[in-house]
Amino acid sequence: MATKMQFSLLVLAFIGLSACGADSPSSPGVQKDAAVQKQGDADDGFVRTPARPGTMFKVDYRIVGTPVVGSPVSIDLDIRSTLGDEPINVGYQVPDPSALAMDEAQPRSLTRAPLAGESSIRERVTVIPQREGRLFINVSASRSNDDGSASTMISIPIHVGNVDTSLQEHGRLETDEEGETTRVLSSE
Amino acid sequence: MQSQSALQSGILALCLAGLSACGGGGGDSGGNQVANRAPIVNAGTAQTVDEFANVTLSGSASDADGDVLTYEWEQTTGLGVTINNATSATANFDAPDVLATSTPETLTFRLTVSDGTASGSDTVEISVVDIGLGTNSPPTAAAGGDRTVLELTPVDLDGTGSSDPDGDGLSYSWVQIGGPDVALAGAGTATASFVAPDVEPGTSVAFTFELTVDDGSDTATDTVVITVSEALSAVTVAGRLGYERPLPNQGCRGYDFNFILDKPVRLATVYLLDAAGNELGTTQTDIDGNYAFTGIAANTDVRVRVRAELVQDSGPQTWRVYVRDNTSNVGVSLPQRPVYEIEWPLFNTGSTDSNDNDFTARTGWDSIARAYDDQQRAAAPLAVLDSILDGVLLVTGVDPDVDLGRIDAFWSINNSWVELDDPDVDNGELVTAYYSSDPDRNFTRNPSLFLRGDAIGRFPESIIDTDEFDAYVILHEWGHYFEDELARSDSIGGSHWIPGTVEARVAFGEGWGNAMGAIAPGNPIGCDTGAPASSGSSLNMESYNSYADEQGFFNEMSVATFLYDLWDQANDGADDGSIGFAPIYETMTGFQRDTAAFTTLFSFATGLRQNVDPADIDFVDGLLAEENVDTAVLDIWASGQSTQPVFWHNGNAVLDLLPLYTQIVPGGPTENLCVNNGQVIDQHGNKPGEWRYLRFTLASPQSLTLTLQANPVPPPTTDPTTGVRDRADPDMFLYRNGQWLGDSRSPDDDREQFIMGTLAAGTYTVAIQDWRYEDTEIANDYPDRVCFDITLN
Repeated sequence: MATKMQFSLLVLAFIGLSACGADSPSSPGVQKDAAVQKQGDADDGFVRTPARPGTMFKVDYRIVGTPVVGSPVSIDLDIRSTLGDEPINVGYQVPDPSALAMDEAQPRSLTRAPLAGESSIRERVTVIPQREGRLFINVSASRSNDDGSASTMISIPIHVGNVDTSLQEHGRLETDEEGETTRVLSSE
Repeated sequence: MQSQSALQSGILALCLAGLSACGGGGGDSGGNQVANRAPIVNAGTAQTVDEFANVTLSGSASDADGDVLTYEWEQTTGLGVTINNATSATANFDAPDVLATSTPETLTFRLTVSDGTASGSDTVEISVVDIGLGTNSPPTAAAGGDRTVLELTPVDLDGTGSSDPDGDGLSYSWVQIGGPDVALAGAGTATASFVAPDVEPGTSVAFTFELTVDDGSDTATDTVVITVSEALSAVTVAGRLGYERPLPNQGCRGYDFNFILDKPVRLATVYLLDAAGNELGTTQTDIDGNYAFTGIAANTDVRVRVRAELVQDSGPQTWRVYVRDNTSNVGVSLPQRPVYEIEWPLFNTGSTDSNDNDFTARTGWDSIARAYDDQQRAAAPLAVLDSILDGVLLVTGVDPDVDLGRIDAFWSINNSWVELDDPDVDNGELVTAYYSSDPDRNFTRNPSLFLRGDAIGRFPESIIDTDEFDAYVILHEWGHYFEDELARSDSIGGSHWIPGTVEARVAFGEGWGNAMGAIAPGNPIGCDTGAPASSGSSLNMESYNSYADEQGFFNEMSVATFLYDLWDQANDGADDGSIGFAPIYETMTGFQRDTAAFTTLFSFATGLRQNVDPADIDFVDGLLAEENVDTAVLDIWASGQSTQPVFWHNGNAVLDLLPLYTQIVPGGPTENLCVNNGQVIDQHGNKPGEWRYLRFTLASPQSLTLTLQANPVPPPTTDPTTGVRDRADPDMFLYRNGQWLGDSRSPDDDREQFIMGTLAAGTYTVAIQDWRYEDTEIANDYPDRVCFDITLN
């Protein structure tokens, strides 16, 4: 159980965080912190992502096991929408087939509705890494009915082998005589 | 050479002779006579001879009739000569003087031979070559064309165009005959030179030089005028700066990098640097991306560098916007992190003004690899800046005196959409794109946007997402800044998604952000792309159609489409007009900022009605009605709202949304109010029904205590992880005109007592919730609905 003390300390920290949301410096007592909100979410290993501001769908995922070249790797998906029990069309797309292969038996698309009492559908997609590095698969969720259509597609990264997650340098850092720094990018 | 006529005559003569031989008989008078036959002539063979040589023309002829022949030589082409013995078979002449420029000279002679009745002729060509004898021909001098040069520059006088028809060698002599004296170098050569002297500013001076060429016998002269003008020691360096902006794929599934716009870098700070990096000048681009530096040293290597900032800190309208890298120089506070600057290669200023020094920042997209070359992503910070400028211009277009303050936009190729319990922006860990007024969390106001730029999925727990070209996302967050800086937002933030059924304060804040994301760039389609070329999502403000029952004050898209339809010119449904942005702005920065209620669709709509032309009120009310807002009695407290929403969650009308405010009276009767977790789809504590609002008004200062007591007391449940018993845990937050005055959040079960102390006269609002709904480990069997008795004494 999340402790209320944690919450209190955080809100007293006067966080102006607007997770694509608001900031209200005049009302610190109701500021929300994502760290508090996520507690307990990690139990099932799903990567939980705030839904995009423009979408009706929310796709959380979990990569099962450690991806290695040549071996199938599964990705569990938890897809929910604001559409209740309406069916959701799910699609998979691999932008670079030379990097990530999809088995012939793997459906490229399917339509599912949440089970009774559930608010999301759970699916598993399996791909086979063809090389090391950062690879990714696109997962789309959509629906179309009399009210119109809506869809979203997210890109899930799959790290195969040793992948450097450290900060990447971009351009060069300059410091002037007064100590002010600039990040200089060159363009042709 | 025999002439054709002579040959023909011979053949004719032979034929006639044959005919005669074949004839027989005939008259006897003259029957044995033969017709005269012309002589056959040969003028001799062609010759090549030297000039002045005596040349013999050796002709010959034969006559079949044996007639006496006469000879006649005549010249038909070439330099005229005198033919000696022109009436003899052999004649002669003296070859003429031939110029080197026309050697060899061809002379043609014809020999005509007559037998007294008929004649024949032949010609012969004599080529006469120059051997350097004879009469001299004068040379021609060529001093070159007149021209203008800059002072203090070397000037060449070029006489190499001079010539001599005899091919004689020439000597050269340059002499100055006009203008102030200069020192000529190489005056005795074909190419002389001098240094153009310094001339008075704004003037020019003519210098005349005479070239004399001499072939040893004759001379020739020519003149050239060199005008020396003041050199531009300082020049103007001008041009246009642009950045690449790709167009989105359909559905905003990334961008199509085959279709890239060259957008101007507008109103940004620009530097001109020399090769050593020293600053030679600073200016700003204009609205079309044009820049100009004047007074820059001529003939200097320079480069243009643009700073990702918009600064106008003087005049009636002011603003400051910076695009910074939050992942660099992390030892200092965020507002001191490095600003992006984009520079282009060195070029030379030259000696004249130039206005074509155009440069464009590239996206860095590698169309072969179909991925970014991260080192080349120079357009991104400028794209972020330009999107924010759309927001700035929207506001400055309606407020001539606005002070937009300062905001930092943090973007980096390292900024990932990553799910971590304790995200660290120093390491590029962003839960999402967001706005914060205090990013360092040190009680210092530093309005900031955080935007994603990770195109590769840097972290294994991330989603690939880049925001730099997503104007909708950037301006959505900037819309939150607008509220914070110029207006007011009582939103508590948190997760939200379409259709965005959230509690009323969040709905208005997010709806406002959505609307700004469409209004500021003038594009109803909001793009939120993911991987640069393949994923993302979009929404269209014009065609967005939520479930009709779900539209309302708790739906951010209801708020967004209402605001957008107020502004846009397009007509659809009840949207048959436009009030422009000015009344919206005036309402947000006036009435909405000062309202005693929380900032919701009701407070905004009530204020808007006061700011629009009375003729537009029906239009406004029509749009509100589309969003299930009851307009018969419209006030900030939603007193007249009776239309009850329905949510998908359980298919039922949602309880405990209305009345939006419960009015309580000090010493008055106890009210019973319920919170409801029934429409919660996640544990972010900002969904409809989770919060209820109270209001009360004091005519004079009063010491008050507000008490919540669960009634009925919910059955205790046990936390599945800790075994701790869960009970209702109500909390209260007190405000006046949106200003937080205090809160009461004790851990007491089923009860909360808020000793508010002495409050001044005025109107107050209180937001109440059950903390248990925030507890993500709460047992599933904790009741959705918990009610409290409320007393104010």
